[in-house]
Amino acid sequence: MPRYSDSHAAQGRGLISLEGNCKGGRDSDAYLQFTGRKVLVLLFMGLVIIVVSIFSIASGVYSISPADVIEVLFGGGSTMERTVVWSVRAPRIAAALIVGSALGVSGTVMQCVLKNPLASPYTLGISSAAAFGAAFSLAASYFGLFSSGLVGEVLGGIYGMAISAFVWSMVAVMVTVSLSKLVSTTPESMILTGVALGAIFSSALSSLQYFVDDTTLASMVYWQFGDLSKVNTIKLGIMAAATLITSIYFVHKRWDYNAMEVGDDVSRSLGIDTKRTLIFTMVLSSGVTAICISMVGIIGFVGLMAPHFMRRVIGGDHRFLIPGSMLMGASILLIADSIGRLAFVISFPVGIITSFLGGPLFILILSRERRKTEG
Amino acid sequence: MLSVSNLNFQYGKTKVLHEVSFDIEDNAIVSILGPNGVGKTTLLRCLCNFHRPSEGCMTIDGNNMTDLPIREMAKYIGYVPQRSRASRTTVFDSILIGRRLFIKWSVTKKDIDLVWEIMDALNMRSLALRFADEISGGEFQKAQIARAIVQEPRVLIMDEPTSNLDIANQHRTMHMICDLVRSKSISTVMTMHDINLAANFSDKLLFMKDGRIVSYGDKWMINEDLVKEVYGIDVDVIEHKGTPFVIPRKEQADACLSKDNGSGRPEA
Repeated sequence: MPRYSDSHAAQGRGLISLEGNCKGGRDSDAYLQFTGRKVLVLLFMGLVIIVVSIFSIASGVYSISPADVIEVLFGGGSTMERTVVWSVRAPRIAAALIVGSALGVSGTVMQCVLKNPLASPYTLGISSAAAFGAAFSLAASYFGLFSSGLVGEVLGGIYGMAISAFVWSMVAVMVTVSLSKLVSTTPESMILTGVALGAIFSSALSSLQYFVDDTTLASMVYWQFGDLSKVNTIKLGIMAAATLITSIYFVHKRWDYNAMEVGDDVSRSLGIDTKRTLIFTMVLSSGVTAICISMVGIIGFVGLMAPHFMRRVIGGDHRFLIPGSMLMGASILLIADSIGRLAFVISFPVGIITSFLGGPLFILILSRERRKTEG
Repeated sequence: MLSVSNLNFQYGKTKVLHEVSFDIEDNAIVSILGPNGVGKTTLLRCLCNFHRPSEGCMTIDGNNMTDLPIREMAKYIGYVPQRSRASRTTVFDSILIGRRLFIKWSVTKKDIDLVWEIMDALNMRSLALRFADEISGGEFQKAQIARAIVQEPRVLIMDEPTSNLDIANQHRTMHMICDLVRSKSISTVMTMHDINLAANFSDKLLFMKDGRIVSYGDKWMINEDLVKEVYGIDVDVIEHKGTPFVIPRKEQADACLSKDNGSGRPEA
């Protein structure tokens, strides 16, 4: 048995113990400072969201001072102020925060498990599938399908739209995941698949719109505008519960996501069931997206922008990226909704604002990335 | 400790591994050698349970490896692929991922101390807070090896661990790896292309050709006939500082050059 440089080995081990004690403390401190800075960024974002939320609640046709908003939130204020805050503005702000968080975290985990920086519920066609699902539920009610019995009870109303949106979004997920596993797809081809799926579901949606009456058609078209004014307490509760449950799963899997970024073989060698994690992640992220979309309509680009921005700010460590993307998604939607509500004569649907802001901004980021790569 | 008996594997109808059998002892360093496409990487992937063999048996500490759940396998086998993606995390965090099996909710002091220890042993402490996607290919390869070692496996499996390294770094890194795995009592199986490097740093060498084992033994089994049989080239094997050293014959090199036809393309 060869004895390779035993002295070298002994020297090496000596070095570890000596330097480990001397320099280790300093470097460990540097690492803790480094991670601490990321926590500070997250806390700062949380603080910004609270401040912007208060100012957003305060602003509108009936203006309330931020101090009065805080008073109302803690149970004080006049009847009028309480009505405006609790019945009109707070639910809308809450919806922005919940839906933004849900879309932000969904985009993050989708990009990770599909190893595709362009993946998001919107670009993968999942939002279009959910939109079709919701319209399908409205059309089914119009044509009198599932009109009786327990099925009719369940599939009618907002629950029916949510269930139908979820089921159809799962169809889109299955197509995307199967293609990514069966065929060797590049990030671009996966997005093109999403574009194709979006086109198929859009034409199917147009077909449904062609056959329904004016009232149902108006409901379908109005529903497609992502608009946070549609929410009520029940819808908020459902969306909050779905976001909370899925986020807990995603946070629980943060180390698995860090490993999966490196590659499937490495993740499997670390004891991670990559197939199971991929399927659970896609089902849950698409599910929470579908639930939110069925409640507030289509809101594009948030799932794409939030993780992209946060990766640039705090890196790709999912311990920080997941909460960071939730906070960023919430911030984007909160600011976009506030702009839509306050900057125009009439209240503008937030889905239109995010697409107007997100599309060009994303093209700008992509071109910068390309220049960086070429440079 | 790790035993492979009559292993067969096929991709569809193409048989890649034929009746492969060998044993690896505790703390041994084994290099798998052979030309491109003989099934070296496939054999490694079978050992990691990434591929299910069509026939044969693999055991580790008496446990049938194909029956082991994925988490149990991770306690035995650490894997370093030839290539992997560099994520936008610090080098420290990309190594810390190796502790995935042991991390419950948060990272413990033991996890962090072990990462520092291995980074010190591989002389990469200064890279700790650099992003993994910004370091060189060689440094990233070392980070991958460090990640697999902090996993504390019984067997470390590496696919061409020195493929991204220059000659100085090849020797330096192999020294560091060998010292580290011996100090941690980890057995090592790796594929290599450089016979001399493998002979320098391995306890045993396993030569493969066409999916079969041609020879398995210590470095002194290397001779002209074995290299001719496996690689089809004529070489001289000399002893240099207590290790066999393989040198391709000049006429062999000339023959290769004449085939080049001066245009960079082989003659038709």
